[in-house]
Amino acid sequence: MSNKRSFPVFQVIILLLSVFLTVSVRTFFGACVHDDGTFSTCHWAGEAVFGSGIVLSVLALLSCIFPQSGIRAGLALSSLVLSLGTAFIPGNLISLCMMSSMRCQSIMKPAVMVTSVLLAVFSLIAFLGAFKRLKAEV
Amino acid sequence: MTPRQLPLRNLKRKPARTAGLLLLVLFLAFSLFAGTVISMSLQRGLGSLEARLGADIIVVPSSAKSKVDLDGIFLQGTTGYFYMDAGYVDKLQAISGVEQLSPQLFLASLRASCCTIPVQVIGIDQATDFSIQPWITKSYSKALGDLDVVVGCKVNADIGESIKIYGENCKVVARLDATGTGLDTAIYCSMDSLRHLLESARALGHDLKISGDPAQVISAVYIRVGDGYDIQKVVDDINLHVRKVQAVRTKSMLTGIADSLSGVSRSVRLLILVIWILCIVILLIAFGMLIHERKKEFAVLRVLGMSRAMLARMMLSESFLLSLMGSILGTALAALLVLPFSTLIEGLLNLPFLLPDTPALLGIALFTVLACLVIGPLSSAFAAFRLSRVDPAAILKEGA
Repeated sequence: MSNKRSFPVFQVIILLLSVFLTVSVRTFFGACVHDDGTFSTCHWAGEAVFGSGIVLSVLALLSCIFPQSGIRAGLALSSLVLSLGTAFIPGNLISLCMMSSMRCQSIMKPAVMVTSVLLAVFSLIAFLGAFKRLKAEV
Repeated sequence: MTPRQLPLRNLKRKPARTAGLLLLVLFLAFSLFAGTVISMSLQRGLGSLEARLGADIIVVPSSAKSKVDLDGIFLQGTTGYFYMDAGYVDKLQAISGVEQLSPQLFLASLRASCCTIPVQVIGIDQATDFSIQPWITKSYSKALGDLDVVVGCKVNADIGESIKIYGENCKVVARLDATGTGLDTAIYCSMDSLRHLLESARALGHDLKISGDPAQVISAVYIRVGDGYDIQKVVDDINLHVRKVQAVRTKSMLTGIADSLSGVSRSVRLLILVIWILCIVILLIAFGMLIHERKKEFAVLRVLGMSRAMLARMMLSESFLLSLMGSILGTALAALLVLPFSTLIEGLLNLPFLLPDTPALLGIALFTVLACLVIGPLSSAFAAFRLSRVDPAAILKEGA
């Protein structure tokens, strides 16, 4: 098993994207806000994405900390699956508001989808890289 | 290693230089794809709006113009309601030049299911309607029953679901195709269903400011003018002879939108042009600078037996590979940002916005990649020509 430390470029990108997803879904890409204090289902879709974002961030952080190729490959694979799942949360797994022009439909859903797809792509690259190194080590 | 492998190896060997050039091509592809899609979507939006309105003239109560933004209601989907006596239909029918007319009745829902924003509900007279019915027929061929509704494509309710409006469960029987306009956010039903909803709204204590019998009111009359008649003259006749109503020519409503749209489209096209000129100039400079940087490398390759043609081919292959990767990445990135955020872009521009269909989008993507594949190698052609002319002996002596 190699303990050689090289700068984990893709792991850092995944970490940044995960943190961005977590923060943005509660702030600038957040779901619809109601004046009367009630919540629509889109709020809970946002909360689910927030939860996924935290898990993705932790996975990416662990991947940055541990240099072992096997661990990195496993963590990248987990990120890949989770980010693909996250892309389906708003509007598919948890329904959003009725009008496409509403904030949850026009901002939160596409933002989550784009960030999740990017996360999945970088996770796949990170996995392939780690897997290739793992095979070379074996 | 064969000469065929050299271009890719050269790109891998200098990652910073490769990334810089790749970024430039990526930017070219991004701007071309995103700009073309936005520009085409605006044009399609206006075309779709013209087709959907279908009427030459819309007649509303004269008080409506002071109460609500008519353009907003008819073109951008903002909600509003106003009422006039249904007897105006007969008066308008008597105006010379009126070939076809159909009344509509409006109601703004206060809260539709989970949404906090009001939804415009439009009641159509199925026997006479010519503006909405043709679109409904595309997805639902039967007559609309009591409390059956057809929703615009941006109302996220599936067929068979129920939407609660003023306490009444309205069954969604069809969804309309996208128009790229505010009409996509409206809900359509029969005139009888809307009168039913009016009663429910009044029963819930909502003051709709209806004077007279609610069963005998309408909100607007859509008019189609007969061939050979001057539309403006018919508008003037209505405004002159029918009291307490205001006739609006739909073309005048669309003119404002068309003006804004052409302004935005022009700006987008200009921006694409500026970006392309800038990027091509930067690419030319970048490849020109490479001549100096890679003089020795090329001299060594010449000494090792590579012909001038092979050197030029290698340089062109490098730029071709860069252009291919950059254009695919740039197009993918633009698609990832523009397509999912189309509703947001429409909201920000406040103009009709209808994305091109999938074959057209694929065509734009292909065109973008091909354009970059031509521009990239062309930018490096001059540098390739100069590099192939280097005198290896002189260069190597210089460095000695």
